[in-house]
Order: sequence, then C-alpha cells, then structure tokens
Amino acid sequence: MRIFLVEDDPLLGDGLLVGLKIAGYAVDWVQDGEHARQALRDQTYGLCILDLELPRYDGLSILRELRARKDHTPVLILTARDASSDRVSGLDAGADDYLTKPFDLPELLARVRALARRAAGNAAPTLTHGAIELDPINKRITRDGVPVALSAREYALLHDLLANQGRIRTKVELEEGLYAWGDEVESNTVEVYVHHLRKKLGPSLIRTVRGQGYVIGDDE
Amino acid sequence: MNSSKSLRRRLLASVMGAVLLLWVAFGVVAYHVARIEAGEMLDGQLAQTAHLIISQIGYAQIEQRGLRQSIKLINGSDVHPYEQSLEFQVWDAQGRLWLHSDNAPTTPIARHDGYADFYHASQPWRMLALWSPDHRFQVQVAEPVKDREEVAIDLATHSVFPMFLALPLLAGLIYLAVKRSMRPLDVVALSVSARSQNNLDPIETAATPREVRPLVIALNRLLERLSSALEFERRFTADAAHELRTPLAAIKVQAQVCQVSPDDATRSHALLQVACGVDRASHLIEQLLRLARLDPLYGMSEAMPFDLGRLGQEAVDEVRPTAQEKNQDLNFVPPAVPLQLHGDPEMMGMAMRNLLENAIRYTPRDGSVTAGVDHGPTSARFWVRDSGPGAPAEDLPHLTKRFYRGRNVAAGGSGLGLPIVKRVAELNNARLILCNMPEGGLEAALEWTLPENLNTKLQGDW
Repeated sequence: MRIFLVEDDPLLGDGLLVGLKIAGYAVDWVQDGEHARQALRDQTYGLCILDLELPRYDGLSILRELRARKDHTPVLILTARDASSDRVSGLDAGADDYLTKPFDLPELLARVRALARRAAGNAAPTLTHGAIELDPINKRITRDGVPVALSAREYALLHDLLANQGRIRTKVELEEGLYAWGDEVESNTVEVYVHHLRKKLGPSLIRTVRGQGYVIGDDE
Repeated sequence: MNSSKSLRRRLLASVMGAVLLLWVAFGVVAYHVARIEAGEMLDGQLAQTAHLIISQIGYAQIEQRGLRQSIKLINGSDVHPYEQSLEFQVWDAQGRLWLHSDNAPTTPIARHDGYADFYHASQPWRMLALWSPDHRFQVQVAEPVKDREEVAIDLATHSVFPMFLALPLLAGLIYLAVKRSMRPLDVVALSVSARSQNNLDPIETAATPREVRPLVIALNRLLERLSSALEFERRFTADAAHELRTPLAAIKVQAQVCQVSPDDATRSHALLQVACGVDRASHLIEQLLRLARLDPLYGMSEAMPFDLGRLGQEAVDEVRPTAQEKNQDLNFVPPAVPLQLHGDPEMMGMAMRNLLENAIRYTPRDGSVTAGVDHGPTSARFWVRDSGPGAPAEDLPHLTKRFYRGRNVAAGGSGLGLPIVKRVAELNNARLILCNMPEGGLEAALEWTLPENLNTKLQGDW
C-alpha cells in the first residue's frame, strides 16, 4: 500500500518515512501544505497521514478540500494540538483517526493497518482467501496454516490484491502501491511478482483479467 | 492586628485622649472659677453679716442687752450645712470692745479696714473689718477658711460633676462615630478578602471613599499588570508545551525506528536523527528560557552605556564558526564613529547573535552574510543582510510572532528567535525592522533613535 505523509518537521517526517518503509509501505513525503494539496489532487493513495500545522496551507483545509471532492482516502491526523475541541474539529472535517504528538510508532502502524482494513471493508485483522491467510501485523502469510516466505514487494502486491478482493486491480494501480516517489521502477515488475506469487501460493489464486489487470476471488 | 497599625484604634485613642485632656482642663478651670466665685459669694455674706450687726448696733445703742440677744441669734446653729460658724467683735472708735461672740478673742482681730486673712487658734480665718456709717463702731466678722473651703469645694465639685458624668457617654458616641466612618474601609477590605485567589478582576471603585480610592486604583493597576503577566505566562506555557511535542515525537519515532531497523545503516541513521532531535529540543528549550526571562514582569535588568560597534563586532565573531561550517562569507562593516548607546549590552548581544544565526540558518551553503553598524542623522542601526531566499511578503509581518512558521521550514528554527529579538529591542528602546532587499535576501535591523545631545555631536562628524 502507498501512503502519503504530510509532515513539516524534517526529523519526525524522516522517522515516519523510515518506520513506514520498514513496515512494508511505499511512502511519499511532502513538507508543506501547498505540495500536499497538489499531490493529493494528482494521485490516489491507500492512506494519508496528515499533520495539521503546516506552512503555507493548513492541514484541516487540505482535509476539507479532499472530502469536498468526494475523495474517501483514509486520513490519519497527526497534531500537537491536544484539546478535545481540536480532535472534534479534526474528525468532523473528515479525518478517520487522530493521533496526538508525541505518539508510539507501533500504535501509529496499528492504526494505519486498522484504517486500511476498514477502507477495504474488512473488519477482521487478517485477510483470507481460501487456504491463504495474510496477517498484516506480523506480515506473515500462511497456506493451510503453513508459513510461506515472501519478499517485501511480493507481500505488498498480495496484500493489495487481498485487501481488494473481487475488484480488478490494474497494473498501474498495483505498481503505484509498490513504489514511492524516487523509487526505481523496473519494467514488468507486476508480472514478475505475480509469477512468483503463483509459484509459491498456487496458480489459481491470482486471476489475470485480459487487458485489465489482476484479481483475487469472486466471479468464476 | 497590631494596635499601632489599626487606624480605628489610633483614631479612637487620639480623639478620646484629646477630648479627655480638654475635659480635664475645662474641669480644672471650672473648678477654680467655681471656687473663686464661691469665695466672692462668701465674702459677700461676711459683708452682709457685718452690715447687719452694724445696723443692729445702730438700732440698739440704748438697750445693750437686747443687742447682745439679737446678735447671739445670728451666731451659729446647725440649720444648714452652708451656714458658717461666724465669730465677731464690735469695737468703738476709742478701741473699746463692746461686743463679741462667744469664741472670739478679746483683742482686735485686725487693725485695718476691709478683708484680711489671719491665723487664730491654729487655723486660718477670713475676716472683714467694717466701720458703721457714723464711724462710732467698728465691726469685725471672721469665719474659718476651712468652712469656706468646704463650701467652695462643694459648689465647684457640684458644677463640674455632670461634665464627668457625660464623659463615658461622649466616649461611646465617639466610638460609634469612628466605627461608622470606618465602615466603607471594612467593606473594601471585605470585598478584597472575599474574592477567590484566581479572581484578578479590578476592585469596584464606585463605592470606595475618596481617601482610599488612590490605593484601590493603584491596586487595580497592579491586578491588571498581574493578570496580563499571568496571561502571558499561561499562553507561554501552552505554546511551549505545544511546540515541544513535535521534537519529542520526532525523537520517539526515530528511537522506535532504531529498535525495528533491519540493518545497521538504517539504525545508525535513526540514531543520528535522535541526537539531532535532542539538539533541536534543547535549542528550543534554551530559546524558551531566554524568552521567559524577557517576561514583562521582570523588565530590564540594568541599563548601562555600551559601544554599538564593538558589541556588533563581538556578536559577529561569536557566530563565525557556525558560518564557517556552512562555508559562508561572514563580514562586519564597523561604524565610522564610535556609537555609545544605553541599554543592557548582554541582552543586546544576544539579540544580535540571534539575528546573525537566523541569517546563517536561512542562507544556503557558500552564501554570504554581512552585518554592520551605521548611523543616520537621528538614528543608529545594527543590520544583518543575507544572500538567502528572503521572506515571502505575506510572511514578513508575522515573523516576529511566536512559533510562526514562515519560509523554508526545513531550516528548522525554533520559531522563537525573532520574537526574542523583538522583545529585547522593545526593552532597550530599539525597533526590529525586517525587509526583503531588492537584490534578494533579507535585511534584519535593530534601530535606535539617538538622543539629542549625541545627535548634535554626531552631526559635527557627519
């Protein structure tokens, strides 16, 4: 999943960037409100982590604009403001969750997972399809209860498809979830990773929809 | 409460004391006047008695026994306490004793006419010698001074006595009057003591007596200053807590990244970032403390003369290592003449360093920062110019606000540098002026209006 991080503090932003990457996410990080606005208009993200106090354009306005466009990207607000009224105005502006600085990185990651789950219409902490089970907390995949070792990109791709079960994911969408800005995008990567996943988890798990993309589950 | 400090008691004591003193003085005077009056009255009685005897002698020259009888009647019986025990003698012109009362001596009591005092039977007497109109007889009447005194004292005492009876009543009235007049003070005191300790609203002045109004007004002014200082403190604490959250969050996240980092490179990067975050938090705390010391209540420590040019040079020398780290060209343009100013040199130096550090921070590597001191006809200036990006026009007026996030956030200032400089400037009668230079970069200047005498002296050098 690709996460959009808006944080003006260079140290905190850097920490979050690295922490989220270690957790297996592709992360795009911007430091000011104006850039955040543009990027959110141009691109779709699995989730947005938004600091409220931003130079040039404040976080709440960004959030309101996003929701006014009927963009339902899950938004997790990060802020130093801790008054209850601030939390209320943040959530009312369309935020899905709220964290007050300073916070725990593990808690932030847990909230990110929960938001991603809910956005995919999935309340259970694990994603399953048939004999395949994906545990996002420990980043473990099992087939019939037997652990299967996957690379980070393979895992990210499988997570994307499982989180969007029944929906066809285009190659471009899948690619965006794998790479952040500045990452070197190799050619045919999606095909390569789908090939690896089929080898490890069985050929019938991921279906190719000709000319469109890939899908797990649904319409036979 | 100490009685010497109680207005009410002092007022009571002084008024009562004065009244008592006056009362006693009046009493003493009244007593003496009464005694003198009583003496006069008794002298009058003596004269009356003498005349009576003379007239009796006039009637009864032939029948001497009858005279004796009637005169005997005048002499002492205890009919009235104020009736005197009179003694008398009747002499003729030839010096023969005709008549005398029982206890009177047979020698003449006095040789002269009129009133006289003398001693007889070892006690003082008051007597009157009076000749009959035909000068054939002289009557001498005497009465003991002791009796007269008794009467006089009695009379005087009785006339003064009611005054002393009235004294407690007067004291009571004074007490009530004082208490009543002091009540408005009590009301003020009560209204102050009854307020909660968090209530810094001004005290109602409408009902306070004129005498204490200046006190209440002064108190209100103090309350106002106190509440604004408290407000400053409150806002300051809130801002400080708020601003510390982000660096703390950064440190925590970096530390936690360190825990989960899969490789050494990531770990050492995170550790470096932790150290960096601690540096930033310490810098922020240091700046917060500086600003707190410039709190309105503390005011300025000590104003003394300082040389602006030398202070500027010192500030530039102190920040030189920081500029060298970024390979920046740091120059100082000294003033043409020495400029003596008045203020707190330590604080001014700190403000100058802040401006210089700011310029260095916002100027890219290999850029240049120039500082200088100069003066115009009416002002002296310390200025810092950088080759940085300058500030967006819309940010300029807000740069001196606490924690305002303006240009180039990546430079990572505390958001307190310029507010500190502004506050120091205010305390030292200087102005902080920020503007973008036409050729790019920001100019920050501290400007003093020169005092008249220095002004004329400089004009000569100009």
